[in-house]
Amino acid sequence: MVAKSMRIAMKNKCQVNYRQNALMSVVVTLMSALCWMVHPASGATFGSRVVISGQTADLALDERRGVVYVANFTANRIEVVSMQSASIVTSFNVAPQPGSLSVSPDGRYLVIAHYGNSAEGITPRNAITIVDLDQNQRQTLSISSVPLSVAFGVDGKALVVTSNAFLLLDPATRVLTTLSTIQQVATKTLPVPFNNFPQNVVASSSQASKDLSRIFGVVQGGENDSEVLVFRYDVGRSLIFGGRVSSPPLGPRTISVDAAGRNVLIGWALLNENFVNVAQFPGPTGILNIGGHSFDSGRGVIYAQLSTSTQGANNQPGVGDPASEKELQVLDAENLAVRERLRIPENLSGKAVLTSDGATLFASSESGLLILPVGSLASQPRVVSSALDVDFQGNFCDRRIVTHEIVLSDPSGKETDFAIRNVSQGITVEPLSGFTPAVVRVTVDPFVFSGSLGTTVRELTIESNGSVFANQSLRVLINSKNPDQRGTRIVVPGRLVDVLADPTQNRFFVLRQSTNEVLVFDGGTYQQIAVVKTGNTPTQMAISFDKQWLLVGNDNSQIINVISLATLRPSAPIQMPGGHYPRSVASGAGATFAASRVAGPEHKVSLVNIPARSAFSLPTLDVFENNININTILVASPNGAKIFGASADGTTFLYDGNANSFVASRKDFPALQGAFGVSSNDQFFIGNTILNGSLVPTQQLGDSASVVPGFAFIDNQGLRFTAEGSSGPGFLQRVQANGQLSAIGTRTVEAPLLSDANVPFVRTLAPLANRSAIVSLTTSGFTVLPWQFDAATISPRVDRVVNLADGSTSIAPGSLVRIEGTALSPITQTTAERPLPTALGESCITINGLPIPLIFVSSQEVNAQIPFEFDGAATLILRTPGGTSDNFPLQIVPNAPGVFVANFPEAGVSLPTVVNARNGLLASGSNPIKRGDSIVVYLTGLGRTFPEVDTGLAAPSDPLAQAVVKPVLFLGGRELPVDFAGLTPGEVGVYQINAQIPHDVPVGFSIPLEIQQGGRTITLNARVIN
Amino acid sequence: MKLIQSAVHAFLFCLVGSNLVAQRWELGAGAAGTFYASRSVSVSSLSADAGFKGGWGAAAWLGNDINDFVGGEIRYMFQQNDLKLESGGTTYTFGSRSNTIHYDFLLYGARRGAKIRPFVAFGAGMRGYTGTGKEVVVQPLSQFAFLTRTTEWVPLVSLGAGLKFQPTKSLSFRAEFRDYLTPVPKEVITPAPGAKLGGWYNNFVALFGVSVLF
Repeated sequence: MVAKSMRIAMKNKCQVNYRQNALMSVVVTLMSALCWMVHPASGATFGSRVVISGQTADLALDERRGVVYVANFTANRIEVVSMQSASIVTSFNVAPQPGSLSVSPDGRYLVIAHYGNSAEGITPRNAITIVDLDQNQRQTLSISSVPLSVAFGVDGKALVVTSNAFLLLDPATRVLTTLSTIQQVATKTLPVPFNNFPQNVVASSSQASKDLSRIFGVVQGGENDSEVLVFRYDVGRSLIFGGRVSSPPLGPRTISVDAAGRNVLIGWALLNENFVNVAQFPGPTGILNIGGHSFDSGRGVIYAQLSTSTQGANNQPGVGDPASEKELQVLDAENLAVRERLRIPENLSGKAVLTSDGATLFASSESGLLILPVGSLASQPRVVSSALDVDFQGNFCDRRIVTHEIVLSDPSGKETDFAIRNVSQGITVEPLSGFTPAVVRVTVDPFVFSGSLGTTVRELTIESNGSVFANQSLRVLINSKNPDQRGTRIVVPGRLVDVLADPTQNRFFVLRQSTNEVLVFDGGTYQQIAVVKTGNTPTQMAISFDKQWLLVGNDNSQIINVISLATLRPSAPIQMPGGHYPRSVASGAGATFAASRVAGPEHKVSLVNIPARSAFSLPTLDVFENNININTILVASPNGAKIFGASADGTTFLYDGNANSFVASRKDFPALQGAFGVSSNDQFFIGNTILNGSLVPTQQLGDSASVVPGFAFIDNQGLRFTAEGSSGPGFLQRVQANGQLSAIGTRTVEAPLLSDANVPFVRTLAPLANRSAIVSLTTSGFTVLPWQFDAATISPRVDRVVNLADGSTSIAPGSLVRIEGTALSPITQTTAERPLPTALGESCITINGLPIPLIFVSSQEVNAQIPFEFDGAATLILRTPGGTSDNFPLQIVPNAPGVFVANFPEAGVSLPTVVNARNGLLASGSNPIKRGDSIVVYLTGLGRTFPEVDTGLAAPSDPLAQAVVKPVLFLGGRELPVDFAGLTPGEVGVYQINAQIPHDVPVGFSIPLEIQQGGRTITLNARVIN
Repeated sequence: MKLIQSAVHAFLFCLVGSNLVAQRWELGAGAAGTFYASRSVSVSSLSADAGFKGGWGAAAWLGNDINDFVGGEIRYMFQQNDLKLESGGTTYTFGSRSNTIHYDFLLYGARRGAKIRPFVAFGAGMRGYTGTGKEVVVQPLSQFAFLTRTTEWVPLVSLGAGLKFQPTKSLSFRAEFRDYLTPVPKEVITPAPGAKLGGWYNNFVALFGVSVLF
């Protein structure tokens, strides 16, 4: 049924494209079939196009008249497109090649620049047309130089940029005055070969800020497209140039400015007002005529389409990526992080302008004009998954087939189709297609993946024909491990590239490159506590030697982000020299250096001045040339005395803070990659080798061919983290002071992050400052290992199993319980995962052989849920890497209510969780129950329910799961009417009783509240008033 | 309300008998500043002050002269005084108001018709204390008492003295000072288990008012 509807939708889409010509009906039918065969999964597109039968060079909005003026470069016309009807309402012929246009602030004048730069022998026809829109009069002025762009400022004058001057045009008087002259730029001459477009010919653009106080522009600076001149004109005050040579060329050759005129996006580069590259699109092809963009400052985003390559090694442009074409991205306006992707019907090609209310984006496009109702994005059909990752934590307790549920929904409330693709062996998805909202069950057979002993990653693709948004990926993580494998996996979606412990606080930083963010995690709970934005494509972190700042290098921003360690707030970034992309940063006692990819022939080391937020490229590295390999890492020793550098070409070098000089450089390896580290004792680790204080290799650790993805010095010893593959286990070994590896290593729950050609050097180990744990970047996110990960482990011992709510020894099916004992878990961890996992940290528990869901684990306490299936005598066994506990006998009774207790330690008060429905607060002496009120008692142990709920699953809200045995409540001896008794919706193992308080209950400070169920009675006390 | 009016008329009629029609009536209203003397609430060797913060009030009354030197009036009074609990530098306050109705005899030091008439007053009535603050689960100083969002009526004794100034035949101004005594409203200020709080609150009221005589 769904497939049929998809076919119909595709057929309709293809038909629409050809419907304009009735004579093409036969072709339509054939093409429809072809469309279905070639693109069975392509979906709806966002926006509608207006075909102008020519090529758009520029556009301008006239919101007063509700029209858009489109410069039809090749047809010598201005098309007037109605904003409302999205159609051409009229056109008027103008002088040849209208290449740029702008509407005056008062809406009276339209000024058009005509690109008439003809080849020798043909009369040039460079001109400017002034259209009086109120009087419907036109006047064309011939000028001697080539007009490249025009934009009005707040003073009502148009800035006309020509091939040799910046002119100001007063449209009322028709007077042109020269603002500034420039050296004649090389402009392209007409005619041009076939398959050229206005953006290739004019190759210039200008745009004003929202208040028209600033105009930014880009001008073709030479015959080569790579040479441009960028400028900023502060209207009525100053003209500032920022000469620029870029590789690849700054394409698309268009410009957009944020509302305040503080940032400008020129081609693929986001520059600040001083022309510092704060971010750029990764892997741009530099094609001038494909793409376009516009700021939406109100929403803090940029809408953009850009032709990008499949980014190969070292950010070099490669083959155009078809996936990046015909796709509009919604990007973070600060660092160009991609937030959303939408399919559009055709490529943008130049200027894009947003209406003042932010509702509609009008963009130059291949057919003419594309109208994109970006203000209604929230109501566009889309399919959103409730999770980015579906994690299956295998464990030695539980080898059953496991099912997780995800919810696919459309936030706009529509019923939107979906289909799930790329389902691989061992994974089943049900249903594979349907309409939102839908609960999708992802089931994994652990036996299929049990051989990996690590984490296998599979990606499902969620497609939707009815959605304009790009397909989504859903990562399925399947972990299998044996009892000896150590560590607790914490799943973090996205591409993680670096991890660093805070030297002063118990927390650590993870660099997520895919979203341009630093994630900050608490070192005790491993919960994310903050997120800080970086530049584009962050690569490596460092702590300033004064421990004040976290520094972040970026591969697609010419800045180093500076984040305060005190506040976790971003500070002003460090501006790198032009063309320098600081990939690696290291801060020592005497100096801070950055190793940069440079848009030029040589890559450089720069000296960074953190207080001044500046850096300059060193002319030499003392006796050595400052010419480094593009893949170079820097790392400082903990005592700040040394900064070690290593390059992928096998070069190593060393800066000595005491000598204030680069004191050594060697090339002992044909190539280098993998982990790196420096100790405070003049020991250096790179690749798989330990170097001495002169960088002479002294010890090779293991096989010379093996790559070590993780290494960290702790004092004068080391930790070495290896893996045979990303889906297998990791292997952690200690390295002694003499360079000897510990004989016995420890297998970890999954493999460390591996280096590759794009990222040859990786840092995957971060020993926490308080020495409580070692955090490692691994396949799923990160893994937490106990500090003494290789210490002999002791067997767990279970002492008591009690009701989690009140500590009583009575427990019932479905109850939450607290298991007390010793060595119950090597680490402390809580889960918010639903359904609850049957293994948490490195512990798992069975009752009568059946794994039970866990909520919390620590050395002395584990919280879990008793399965609903059990009744009577049972045996509990807890397993950890240390071994297996003795059998612990349990007696499970049908009903064992226990009311939770809320503690208020500051006041020294503990209160039962009896909530006063009148105000939603716990009933207490200062919030007494009143006659006529309703109360809600939260408890556990009410036993089985109808309908039944699977153990570990959150209780449903419709239908409600009601306790099979109804509890009876008495307040002061008066029975209370009970409205509901059963599982609390959305919670696991938590029940509630909703009861009314009659008007004749006794009042007093301590009135007994009795809860009776299945022969068990618990008594609380409550204050009751009139 | 109708019941109260009937009762007042009956009461006044009993007081003045058949001379009622010959008496002059007074209908007045006034504004007041009010404050309380706190009571001590103690637990073991610790203690706190439990009571009311200073506030304001408004009153309206209807009265008449029984003879040249004796008068009577019935009065309604509204007071806004937040509850407070104070100990060891910690103060917890909780919104509160009271509604009072009482009857007083007024003994004058000058004849009816004199421009200035000093008087003393005494009487009795009822006061409803209402806690109006925002309820919290655990309030500070709850080891001493709980300030509660509820209403409680308690008996009231009124004592006072004042001065009436009659510039014209039909207008009178007054200034007076009262001490209203009520037992501690233990549903509003509820001593914690084991805490001792008892006795009467003195509520001092300084009032200025204006009346019309008819």
